Amino acid sequence: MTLLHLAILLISLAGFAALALATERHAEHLLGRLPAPRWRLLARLAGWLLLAVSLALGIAYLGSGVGITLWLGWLTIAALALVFAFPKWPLRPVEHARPARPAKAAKPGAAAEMPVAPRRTARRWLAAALLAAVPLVYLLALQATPIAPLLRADAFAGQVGPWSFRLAERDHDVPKLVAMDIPMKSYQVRFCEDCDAQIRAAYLKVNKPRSLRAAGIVLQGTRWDRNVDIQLPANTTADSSLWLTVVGKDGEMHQAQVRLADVSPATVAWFQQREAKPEAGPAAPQGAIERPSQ
Amino acid sequence: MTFPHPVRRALAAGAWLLSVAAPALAHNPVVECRQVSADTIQCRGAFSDGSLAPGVRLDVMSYDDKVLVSGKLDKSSLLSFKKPKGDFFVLFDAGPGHVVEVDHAEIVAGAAR
Repeated sequence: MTLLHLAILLISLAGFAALALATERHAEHLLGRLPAPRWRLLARLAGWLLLAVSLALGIAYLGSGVGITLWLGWLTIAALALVFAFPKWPLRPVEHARPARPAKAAKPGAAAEMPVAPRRTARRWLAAALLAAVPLVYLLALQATPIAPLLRADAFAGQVGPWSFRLAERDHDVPKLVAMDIPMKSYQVRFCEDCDAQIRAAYLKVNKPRSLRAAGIVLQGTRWDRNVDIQLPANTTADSSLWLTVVGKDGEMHQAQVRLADVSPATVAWFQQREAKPEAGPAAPQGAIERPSQ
Repeated sequence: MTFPHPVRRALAAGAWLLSVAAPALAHNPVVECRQVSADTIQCRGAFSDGSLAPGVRLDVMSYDDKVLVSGKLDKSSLLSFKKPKGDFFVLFDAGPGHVVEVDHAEIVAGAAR
């Protein structure tokens, strides 16, 4: 992780240095001479590319949220480092004789600036439009952000032994078909704040566990976001239930039953549809063996 | 297009770091059993990302929790066993907390995939 931070900092530092070399003023200062326009263009491309690479690094390792934020943080440090490093550079900045700025009052007509003015106005309008778009885009993004599964109204609230919990499917979609076309669903569980410290492990599966060994898949993740992907049995029906098995730190085991139809209606409907026309689903023709009702 | 040396090195480092940055995919145990003949059941255990699970334990249990068959998946991640009399279920045991169960009522005819 330290290596990642260091890499983001160094790459963005290199990116900013390349961008500095792309400008007339800093290139002349840093190199003592002005590089050819071709080299400056190259430096500009390399600079942006390096900044993009450091951003990609952050996103790849830390996800878009933390990655972008962290990248901005390191960009700030890299830029500040260069700002304070440039005055210490051994070469002296090149002093250009600046043409005296004409006094504003001297040209009331501003006829000389007329050709530039329309372009500047357009740019100003564009900037204003972009600025106005920021809250709009933010609101749209906020609108499009799904509510966290456990905060949704359809999250199931229940009690397992002495502990209360909330359980919800991660998304309302039909099961995802993984290897061998096996249907899988993701669930999220959160126990009450005080309960959590008393819980050793929790497991989830469809149908009642026949033993603790067959309690299902263990819930993983941080305590406020315990999650699990479980295989759904081929004979899942509207009457199937999810069984939550929780083992406390005192060794006591508690179980709770949640009807699948209550938390995953789309999944139950998908199984019913598959049952109705087996050739459409991945299940093989049934009938060779009896299917006792579960 | 040729880059100056340090830039080239930084780019190479960036590319390398990106290549090793593949996100870890969740792989959950999955299992499927089929009745391949009148008295033979064949089960295939795997992981949800499609990787096989040769050598992983697969137990066939009776409803009163007795182990009827205990075996390990072969190279092609398959295990065949004689269909037990009475009710049974199959446990694909990829480690504590990673156990998937297949009830006999789920098992349909056909070749295991």
